[in-house]
Amino acid sequence: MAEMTVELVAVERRLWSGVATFVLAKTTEGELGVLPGHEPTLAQLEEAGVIRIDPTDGAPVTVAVHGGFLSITPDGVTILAEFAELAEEIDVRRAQAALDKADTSEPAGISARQRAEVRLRAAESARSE
Amino acid sequence: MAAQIRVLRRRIRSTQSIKKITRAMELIATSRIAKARARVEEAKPYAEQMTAVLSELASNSALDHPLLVERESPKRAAVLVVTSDRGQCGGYNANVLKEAEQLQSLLREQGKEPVLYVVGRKGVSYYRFRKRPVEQSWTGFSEQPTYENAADAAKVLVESFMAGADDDGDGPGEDGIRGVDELHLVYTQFKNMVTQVPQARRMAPMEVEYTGDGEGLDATVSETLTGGATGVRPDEPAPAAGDGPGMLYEFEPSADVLFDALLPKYIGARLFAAMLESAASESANRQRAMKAATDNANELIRNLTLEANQARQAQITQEISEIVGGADALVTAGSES
Repeated sequence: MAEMTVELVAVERRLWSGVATFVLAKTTEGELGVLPGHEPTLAQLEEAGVIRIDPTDGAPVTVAVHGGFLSITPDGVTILAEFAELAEEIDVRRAQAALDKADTSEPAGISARQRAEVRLRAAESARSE
Repeated sequence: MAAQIRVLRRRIRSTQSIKKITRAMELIATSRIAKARARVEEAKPYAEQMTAVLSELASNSALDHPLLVERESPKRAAVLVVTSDRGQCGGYNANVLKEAEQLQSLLREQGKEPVLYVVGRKGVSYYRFRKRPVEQSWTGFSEQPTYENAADAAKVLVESFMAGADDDGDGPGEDGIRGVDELHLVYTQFKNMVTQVPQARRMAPMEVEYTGDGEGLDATVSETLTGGATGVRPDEPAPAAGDGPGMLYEFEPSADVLFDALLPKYIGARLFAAMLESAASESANRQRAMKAATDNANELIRNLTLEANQARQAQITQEISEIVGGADALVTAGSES
């Protein structure tokens, strides 16, 4: 099966890297599924979104990504994120608390709410698989 | 005599407690250097990838973005100085502030007015004491900066830079905000445990180098060493721009929109890297300063103990001779009677 190298780097550290067969991301324009041999693309991911990476072996990796970019080259796929969290690392209770606490009357609160929602979504989709 | 010994003992005691403090600070700093260096390493992949992506984008389009184009007559230049929040770190702050002073006088020579932005309480108090205006400052995180801290500062700087685009002469221009035309950064580069060098760099407008070979343009984005030669940072490997020149990219959304979104993030990542390096340098400087202080305290304690012992012996000798003298006097008085 065809495969590609995928790197997921957040500002503070490299989160995941490995060989995968499929990457599913959502850009500002719409959903984007990447298979090996995809044409070179640079894309801006939606402000807060969930990314799924299917590695060649092992369970799919689900990540909550905030403020990210996606770069596809013939060598592989790179996901750049300001903040990113692997689904299994997400503390559901804390995310829920953040969601409840977020004050949507101001812009900071709205983005905090979005972030919390995405984290919950990522954690959930990882559980259901 | 007895008073002298008491004073010496008191000094020994106080030196010992100072030593305990400096020793503790030294140990804390040592553990922080390791952590800070690990964070510098961990932040590298992002910065490298960011540079690579940006270079690819620059090769393809959007070269008229304000962050890339040199302004015709730059009037104001923002200078961001990264200092520490606490002292006790040797020459760390003095060095970086000196570098900042040099940069400012260089900017003034070029007819640009420096606008100060400061990170760290030490820098803030330095400029406040000299009654120099500071546009904005951020404090409280110099030893363990997070990306949010860097992003905050980057947002303010980029906004100010963008607002400066339409400034005319001495007026604020159309948007009514007096922005800046250049962004400079002064921080301390962590070379290794013993060498940390203050650095002044220009973050914006960015430098774009072209290495075209006919088939297409290949751009490399880099920064300028202020007042020095241009070029890619030596510690950053030259970004690999895809598979060679002429590779065509699909953009989602359009390249210009992407560029607008990417560049502030690039500045944020650069600032974050600078803050992390500064934090590592600060800890290294503090560790060195505190080690020297602990050594000095040890030596002081040794000398004072010697002096105290001498004083004690002198006192005993004196007491003995007083007793002997007294006894002699009694004996003489007895034989006379």
